[in-house]
Amino acid sequence: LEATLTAEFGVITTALALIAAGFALVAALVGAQTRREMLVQSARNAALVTFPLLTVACGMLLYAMLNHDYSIVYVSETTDNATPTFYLVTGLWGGQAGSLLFWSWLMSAFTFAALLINWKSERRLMPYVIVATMATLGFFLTLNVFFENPFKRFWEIPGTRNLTEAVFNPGNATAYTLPDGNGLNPLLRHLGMVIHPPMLYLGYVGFVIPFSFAFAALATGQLGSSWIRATRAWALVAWMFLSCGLLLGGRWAYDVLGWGGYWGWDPVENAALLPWLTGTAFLHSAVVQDKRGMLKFWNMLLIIMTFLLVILGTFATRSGVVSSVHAFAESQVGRPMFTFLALSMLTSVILLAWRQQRGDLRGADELDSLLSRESLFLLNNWLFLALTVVVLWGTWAEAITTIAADLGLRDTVINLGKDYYPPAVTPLLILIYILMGVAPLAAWRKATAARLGQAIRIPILVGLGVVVLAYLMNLNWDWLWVSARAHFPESRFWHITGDELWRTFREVIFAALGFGLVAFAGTATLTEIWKGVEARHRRGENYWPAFSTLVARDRHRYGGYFIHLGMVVLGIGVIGSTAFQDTTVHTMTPGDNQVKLGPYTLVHNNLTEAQSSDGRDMIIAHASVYRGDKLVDEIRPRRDIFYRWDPSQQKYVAATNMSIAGTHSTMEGDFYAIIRLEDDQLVYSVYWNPLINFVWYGGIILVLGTLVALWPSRQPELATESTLKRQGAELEGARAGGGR
Amino acid sequence: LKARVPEEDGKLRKLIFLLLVGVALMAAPDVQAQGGGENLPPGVTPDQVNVIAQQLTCTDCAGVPLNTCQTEVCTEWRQEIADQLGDGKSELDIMDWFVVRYGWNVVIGAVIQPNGLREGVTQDEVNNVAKLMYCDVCEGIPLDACESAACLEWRREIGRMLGVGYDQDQIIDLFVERHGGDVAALPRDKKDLRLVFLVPGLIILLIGIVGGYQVWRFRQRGHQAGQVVRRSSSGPMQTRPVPEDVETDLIERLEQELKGLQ
Repeated sequence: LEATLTAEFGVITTALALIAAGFALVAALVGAQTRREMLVQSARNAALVTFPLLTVACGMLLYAMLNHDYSIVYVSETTDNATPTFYLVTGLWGGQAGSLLFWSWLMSAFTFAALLINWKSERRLMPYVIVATMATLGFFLTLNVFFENPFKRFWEIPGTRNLTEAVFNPGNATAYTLPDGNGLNPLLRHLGMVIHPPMLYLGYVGFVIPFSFAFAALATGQLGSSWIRATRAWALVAWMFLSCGLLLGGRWAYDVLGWGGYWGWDPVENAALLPWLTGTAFLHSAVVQDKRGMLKFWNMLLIIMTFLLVILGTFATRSGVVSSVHAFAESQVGRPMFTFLALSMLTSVILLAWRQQRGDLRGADELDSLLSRESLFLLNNWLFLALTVVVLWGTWAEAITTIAADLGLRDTVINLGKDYYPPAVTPLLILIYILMGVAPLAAWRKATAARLGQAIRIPILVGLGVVVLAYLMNLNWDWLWVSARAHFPESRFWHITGDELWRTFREVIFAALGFGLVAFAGTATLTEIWKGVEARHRRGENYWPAFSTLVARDRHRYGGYFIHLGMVVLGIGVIGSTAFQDTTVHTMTPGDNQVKLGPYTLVHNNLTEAQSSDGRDMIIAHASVYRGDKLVDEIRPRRDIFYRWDPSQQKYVAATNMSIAGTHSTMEGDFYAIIRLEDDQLVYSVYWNPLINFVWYGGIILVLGTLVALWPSRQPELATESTLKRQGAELEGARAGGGR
Repeated sequence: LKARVPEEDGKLRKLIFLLLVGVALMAAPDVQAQGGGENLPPGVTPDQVNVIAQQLTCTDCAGVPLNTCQTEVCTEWRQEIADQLGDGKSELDIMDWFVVRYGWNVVIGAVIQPNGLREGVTQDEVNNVAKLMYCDVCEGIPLDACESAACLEWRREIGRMLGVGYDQDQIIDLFVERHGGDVAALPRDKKDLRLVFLVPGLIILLIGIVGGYQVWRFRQRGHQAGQVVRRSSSGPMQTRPVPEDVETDLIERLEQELKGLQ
């Protein structure tokens, strides 16, 4: 394809998709209002066609990237001749305009799937599902077509040396192709970054579908249980992708950002966490509506909040309102995005209030016991909402107080860093973990303290045992040293005083309590699974078939338990790596080339330089890791220096450099080292991150659990039929035998 | 003194005189050490100047404390100290001011490590302060993790301040004063700090109250008589006993209407 054609195909297909989305929205609305089936069908077809159109648009952009078509501005901004083919693909979401197109494409794909899967089963809701999805898609395509067009090209106006950027030829200009591009931000050249943004986008976009069903249910008044069943599956899909996105983002930060951690409470990280929190709350309360017909209003509110938080997160990332390492540069999309957010909020709140006022959202809202499972789920929801408030305030305090200052209501602006979160978040997380253990063991409806106490007796005993064990294990000197150093850095000459020692013990106790808590939650979950397996085993099944049949018969429930187990493992990693993390910075000198940290000693051997095929220079440190006197690993932390072509100097100049950690990784923890050069001196930053790999193991279990929950169950009709036959046969047998 | 000392006791009078002379002589080196020459601003005493001056040496006369040196430069430096004290600057601020301008060589006894930090200060200590701060250009990256040239310079500044004797809070306060509140991970102002935790706390409390009221209503509804409830979304409708005060005619009419609907 010629360069011109690529861009023009892209422009045309994007614009057609916008027109199709607009048509689908209007046709679905009018069709639903006037009950004209033909219009609704037409709207469906128009909505469906957005997917192939946007697939072509994305394909064109990708094609241009793979062929280094630098006549397209976006391609020149996100790729260069040196970028490996594998990473050229990531350019699709590496900049504002491309990522918006990618967002739209995913949105159209989700809509396509939802229209195909749910068209028959949720027929009455579908016109309004089209309205909501197409309104959202139409909005993002509007941004793509009018504000951030990825197919904008360079044009050279005859007689001048100036280049102008425009979608269409501004007069009699000629298209101009740059010799090389700026290249992708080197920080994005990581496998995690290849997968992380698509996963996050899938999570974000995925939540638009449950919102659309909720919107449709509110608009049509079809507020029975059918919308929540359709919504739950979509919400679970979105939640899984969002979880994957968050975990991969953490892994990317750990590998690439070079600060030894995986979560920095960065505003953009928080923006992705917020819909995850309300989404999690929704997935729990949806169970209550499904089982008990309760919490209709609450579920509506949660899914609307989740959608609004998705839009808010997108706004935060793209408007430049919050400052973050992950955010795109400030752009024109902020204002329209805020307007869309405000309109979505207004429409949703009006619809919700109208239905509530009519009493349409009133379900069987009654609680028989405060210790029943539904009560505990409600409490769980409240805790997730509280967490959302805490994180939301932490993320937006600066923007809010800036507005307050501009209005003259305040003198100062409050900017909250990562230190705000631990004291605010920890108590809520503790309560959530307690509930994670208790709630699955509580009965629906009628529950008594005695029965619940009986059920949680073993998990409590195991939890207490782990507290004692963890406390005793942490009391060996190495751990105490690590912990004390981490908590009393101000001791300049390193003397631990009695008070400090006591405070260190206290920290160890808190960590031990944390381990006990996750052990409690984990044992409670395992107990619940074990009860089911044991019951089947008593009926003659072997343990493994009993387990697999149990899971297969109620995938939602047991998938949920696996997710809980994933959270337990993740909790172990978080506690270990935060309570006992230790770090040191050391400048290597000829006579002093060793760093001792945690159970390891790092010995710096030498420094070499190399050049990669993509043009980057690498400074590689070679270091040996010893445990005691035994050599356990050779690590090679390095710095990659990336160059870009500077037209003004007519040469390549160092643009960015990136730190790649050298890690000795075991189940016990990661011994993690990065290097930098300061005034020609080699400086090592070394981290000891105990149990950190449990974070990733937990994440994998969590995703597998979600897949189990999502896996389609056997057809209920067939199951019922076979059950009826069996029951009938049993009844006949009982009658024949005289009955009981 | 006259009242206490008998006139006939001349020896004692001599002794007291000698004591007074001794005291005057002991005070004399201080007067000399203060060097004279500088004009002390109101409220600044020579002792205050000397406390700082004795820790410093000027670039011309290496090793000789400022308070004992009579050179022109030393006099100027003492004047500088006096002026800064007059402006209300603290001892640490003044020491830091001299180190910034003239380097560690002007601090008597300062030994500098190869990494540029004063002996006794470690890079870990620098980072432990830096991790509580953000620079005002790097987007949300804590100062200890940021690798920009500006952040490196700030960490060096922290290292120097630790070497002079500032503590963690003083350093952060100074940075906040110079570069604004965004530098600190949490507000330094006590009122703002309270507000930071109060706002989410109050919102959570409000949600809790509304949620609590809702739970109370759910509980009440669970005990109400005569209400039709659905035990599960798929299960049959069930009823609670009809209250006694409802008229029988009304119930019959309702039942008939319901049958008609069926």
